[in-house]
Amino acid sequence: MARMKMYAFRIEQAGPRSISEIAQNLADRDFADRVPPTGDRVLRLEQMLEGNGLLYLDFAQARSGHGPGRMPRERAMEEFDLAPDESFGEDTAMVVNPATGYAAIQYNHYGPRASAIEKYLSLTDFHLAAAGGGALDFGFTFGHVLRPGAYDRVGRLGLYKQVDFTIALPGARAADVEAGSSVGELLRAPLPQGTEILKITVQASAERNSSLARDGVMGMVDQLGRMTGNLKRAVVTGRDEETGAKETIDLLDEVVSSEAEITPGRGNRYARPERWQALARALQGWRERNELPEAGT
Amino acid sequence: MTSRDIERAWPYLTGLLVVCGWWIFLGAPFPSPDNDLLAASGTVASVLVGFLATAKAILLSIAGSDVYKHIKSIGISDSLFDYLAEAMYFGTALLTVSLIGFFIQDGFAFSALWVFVSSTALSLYIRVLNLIFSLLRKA
Repeated sequence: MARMKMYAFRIEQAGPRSISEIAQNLADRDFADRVPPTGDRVLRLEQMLEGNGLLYLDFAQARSGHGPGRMPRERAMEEFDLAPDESFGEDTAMVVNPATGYAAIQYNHYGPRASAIEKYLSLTDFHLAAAGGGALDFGFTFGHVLRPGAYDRVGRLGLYKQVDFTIALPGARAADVEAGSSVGELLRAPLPQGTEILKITVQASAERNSSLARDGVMGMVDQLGRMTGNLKRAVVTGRDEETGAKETIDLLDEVVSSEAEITPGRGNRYARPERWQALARALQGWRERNELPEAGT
Repeated sequence: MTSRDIERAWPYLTGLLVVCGWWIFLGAPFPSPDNDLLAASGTVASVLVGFLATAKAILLSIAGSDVYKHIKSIGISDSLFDYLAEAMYFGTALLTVSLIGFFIQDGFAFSALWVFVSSTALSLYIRVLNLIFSLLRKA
């Protein structure tokens, strides 16, 4: 048995096309045509299903660099025989509730992360928008979901002493190229994701009872919560106004998540139906435990 | 009009504007005899083309860097090389126009052509120079 980590995300749609429509458009194509022509990596939709009011998706990404080998217990490691058009792939499953905008996304360390899936769907949406003519409204934002209690805990701090956050700057993307950004703008943009880090500390003055403005701190917490894998660290430090006790709240610890036990199947992989079931159960569980704020809040 | 469209067009628009300004506001002056000017511009053109050829080699030398791999993956390396090629072609055109000028009679048409080609070549050179420095800062 193994444990599969799952995270909750809230999906915001910027254009007129829903994720269901984008996914259906991709699913109708041949596999070779599902990879964006100017994408950052070989990432594609593997399969989609709709049912029970949910959208079930699985995305696969070609694994680059030094690949795995076959390791028999009593013999030396061997290579896999890959055909010229084959590569090792890693997949990440996702279940979306289109009605609420919430999604459960599998965490696969080697597979496409939520931010990569967000970019892939946004790029596909962009191409559809460009092909259709008219306004270039497109894209999706996958935001972390913080437990409602996290907002309450931050809100109860009487004195806000410091907010620290670290963001991996996303850098220039293929979608920026397609959207007509100049070469100069793209070269001035940060390097690829994770290469340049932005660290910001907002700190109140050193006086004992000084505090950052509450509205400002709650606004920052709300914005940080909307970020995807680009957010690396977000910590709010405050002090109880009455007791003086210091409290540090790590927002990334407050991200809504679950784990599921899954039995690896053929090829030592988690079967797709099992992953989808686990994600759907997680979505339902979060909703039943009121861990997903109501849409619009 | 996107920022890419502006980036593509501004050197040529600059050339046209310079020609118009030279004609309308300055009365289209041109040295006579013009051999010294043509010789100087031919030398400058040679230097520009030589530097751009070196710049191309510099770009190829950083082909293994993360930043180059990234710009190639998102599809702007081709545009960068296109800009480099345009600057080299116009540098060569300036050299050619300067050489031709030694053999033909002076006239408004040739003078205007020289002003356009030289100002456009310079603008194209500045464009690619800025981009190369931006790239090298991150390499």
